[in-house]
Amino acid sequence: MQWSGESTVIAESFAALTPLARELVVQQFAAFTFALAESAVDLRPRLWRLLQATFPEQQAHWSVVAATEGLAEVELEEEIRSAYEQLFEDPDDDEALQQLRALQTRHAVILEERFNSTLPVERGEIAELLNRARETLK
Amino acid sequence: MMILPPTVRPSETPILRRHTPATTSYRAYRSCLRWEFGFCCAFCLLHESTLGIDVEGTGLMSIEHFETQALHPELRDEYSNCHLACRFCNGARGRRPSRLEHVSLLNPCSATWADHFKIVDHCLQAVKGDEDASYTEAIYDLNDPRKTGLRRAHAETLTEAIEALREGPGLSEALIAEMKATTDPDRRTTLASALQSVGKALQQAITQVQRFAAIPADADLQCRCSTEMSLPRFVSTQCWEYSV
Repeated sequence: MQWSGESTVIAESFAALTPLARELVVQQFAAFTFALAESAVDLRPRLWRLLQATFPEQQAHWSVVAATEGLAEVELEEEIRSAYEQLFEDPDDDEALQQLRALQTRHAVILEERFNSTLPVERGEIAELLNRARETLK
Repeated sequence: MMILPPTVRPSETPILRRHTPATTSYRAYRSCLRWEFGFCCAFCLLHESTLGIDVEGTGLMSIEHFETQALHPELRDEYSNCHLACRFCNGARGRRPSRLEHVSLLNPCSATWADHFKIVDHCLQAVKGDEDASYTEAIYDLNDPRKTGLRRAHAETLTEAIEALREGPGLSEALIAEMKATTDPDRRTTLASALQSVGKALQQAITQVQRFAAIPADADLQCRCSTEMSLPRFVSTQCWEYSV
């Protein structure tokens, strides 16, 4: 399936899908968006908003998808982008800067968790093993 | 296997472009750009392995147009205008211009990053009084908490593993020497257990450092212009060779 063109085109495509196909798209959406090439990254927040608007009855389901598949991160990134834009408009806006830093810090926590999850060994474990040996030799 | 240092330091020379893909859509330059910049963000120096595993196709690394597409659409597919950049740098800049009245963005292919930036506590700080560097730092938000957090995590993880590889063999020898010298069976059991711990630490350290290979597992084996696949000097000279 190609995601290209404006939101209206996507909405029409969605409307043409059978309920089962829609459900499948809903299920696959998270994994799908995170596998998109960088060229389509900007499209993700729009898709996200569109899906929420198209299937408002599935808000609870969306929350679960967002929480489990990292779509909350997409929203967070969009907020960060908006904060940058606000700051570009007025570089002296301290409140906007504080807001940006707070959002980035929230995102940093998610990123560090992801970083840790890609490590083959838990951080600190190697040092602990070596400490045990050092203590023994004392 | 080439392994990254705990901290990737700024280049001591401008990054010399070696790839020469025929002009086409800029998106087709990705393979050349990844090798050209050593899988690092050209601006904040975050390496792909710091962002994750097999990041190609995830959107975490992107192509940054030094002269923005909005202001210079004619340079959109110009290879020399394209840089490998992390999503954070790309997102931070937006459409802001490369030049204002009194300041200009620094281009890593014409400016020596080490002359303009210093690494201090996982931050890439502009040299004091260097207005172009300060502008570049601000435009790309080089020290947003996400970047400094990832640099710190990368440094701490690798440092821990490297220290184990350095210290482990010596500790093992000391433990074995004491095992030979002692006749106390309880002490020998304790020493043997400690020796096992060192062995495990070494095995884990080897696995951990391999996670930070300078050439990611998903690196393209061929690029658009068939230039020899090698890391840029600023990356290769900082890496250390590791063989199992």
